[in-house]
Amino acid sequence: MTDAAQERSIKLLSSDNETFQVPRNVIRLSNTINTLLQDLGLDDEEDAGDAIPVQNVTSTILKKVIAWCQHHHEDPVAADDSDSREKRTDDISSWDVEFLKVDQGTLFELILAANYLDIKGLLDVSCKTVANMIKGKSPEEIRRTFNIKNDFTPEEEEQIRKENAWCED
Amino acid sequence: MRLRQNLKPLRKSAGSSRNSSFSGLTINELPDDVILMVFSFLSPKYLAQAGGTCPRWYNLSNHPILWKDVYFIASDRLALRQLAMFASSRVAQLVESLTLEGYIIRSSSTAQKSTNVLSKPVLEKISRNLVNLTSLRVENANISNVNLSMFPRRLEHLSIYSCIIDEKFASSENSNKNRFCSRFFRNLKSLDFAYVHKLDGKLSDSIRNFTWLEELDVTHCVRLTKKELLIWAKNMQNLRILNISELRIVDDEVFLAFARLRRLMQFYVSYTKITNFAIEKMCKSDNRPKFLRVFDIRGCVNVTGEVVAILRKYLSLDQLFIHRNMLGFCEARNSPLLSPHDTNFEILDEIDTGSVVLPYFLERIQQIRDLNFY
Repeated sequence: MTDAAQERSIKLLSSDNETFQVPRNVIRLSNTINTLLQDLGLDDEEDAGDAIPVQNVTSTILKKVIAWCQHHHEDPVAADDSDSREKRTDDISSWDVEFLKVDQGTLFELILAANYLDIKGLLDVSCKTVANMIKGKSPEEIRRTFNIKNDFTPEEEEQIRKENAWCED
Repeated sequence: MRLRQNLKPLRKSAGSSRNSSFSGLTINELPDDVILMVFSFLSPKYLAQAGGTCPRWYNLSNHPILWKDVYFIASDRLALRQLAMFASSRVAQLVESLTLEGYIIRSSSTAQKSTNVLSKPVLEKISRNLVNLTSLRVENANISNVNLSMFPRRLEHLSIYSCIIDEKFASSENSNKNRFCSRFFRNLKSLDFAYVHKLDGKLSDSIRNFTWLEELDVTHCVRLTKKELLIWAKNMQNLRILNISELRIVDDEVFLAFARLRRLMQFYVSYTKITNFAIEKMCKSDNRPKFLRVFDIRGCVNVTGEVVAILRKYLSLDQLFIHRNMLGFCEARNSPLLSPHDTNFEILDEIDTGSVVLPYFLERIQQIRDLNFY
């Protein structure tokens, strides 16, 4: 990539019609945008032209997503940890922990945006954050945490309790 | 996480999310693939608990992809009683790879003298109920009154890393012990006995009948004899990955016997007595392992940097593992021989390996690294 290309910026349009100017280098973390620009043959052009609509993401969320990319765009590409033995969720950086101290609604919106824009790092940490909210809780505590309705019949509940007997210490 | 590769970005908006900037989106408005992604970070116990939350979570928590590789290690370790119950559970059928770690505590009233025994009934339950199990890894366990033949016979990968075994393990219930192993474990591709210090004559007799093995790890199996290893080298023509590290009996003769295995791709001989002479002889032999890609000679005090040029000339290695302080390697690494053309040939020491993908048995070092290994 040339210097000029690195300094290029892309315009993104949120669902509520707010335009964001983002350095190409920063938004490279989004595979969806990368693919889009390549497919449209726009990646080599000096002027990116029209803003790319990000239909499912509101300006509030998009602003946060861009802030996350801004902070992480120079991170080394993570090694493939497909052999990782432990399901670690305690390896979230302190910056990310602060970043994700938001209400549940915002957290889920961020997950959806990361999923839609295919930003692997952001999807990972935000899903880990939710996993941490589930860990160590009984089903009843999980329901309370996320305001989930218990629509099991008592019979079903009893059956699942039996199935999960091996979890009990 | 294998799961990630299967997750495609969501194309459609989920419900009400587009109406306002703060929609108060709830967790059950997230699509299935995202919930599965969250679940993929939960260990088995927490995953099962999450399944008790609501019908949707129950169905998702039973998704086969979440139960394919199950680890009962570290804080997720199960007591023997729990393990037996897990083996009878519905999700157990989905498990393809199982890792058990640590002293498995038998807490029932029938506890014997020893309280940390992986015993016959549990193993039989695992064999019987985990119908899709192809990989079993038991680490640091005390395995007692259990015979190798009691392990699931359809296994492709078996590891009893760093376990304590008793004489029963290798004994044959059948009178003809040579036939013993050739009848079972027909699918077995890899066998790992690293740090099983009691691996001796009987067991090694059995191992040599696994002529179809592709991967064998006997790191630091201190009771092995030279004679046994030489027989293995003759018998096991299918080996692709071999680890005979930390064995005092591995000298040039043993090394060269194994170096004739034509299919060898990864060869680990760290902390052994091999010399430059043996490496040179391997390289110049017509029978040299042409497919060798990974070669580990860390801590071999009789090997010096001179071998780099020879290895480079005769083999097409990707990775050579050394120690930083090994004689002559510093010079060899900086020599013009390893010009920038050599993008494929890496010489890696203990500091480099902190930043590269490690061979599977070095994973542990990666973990120790977190505890300021350097």
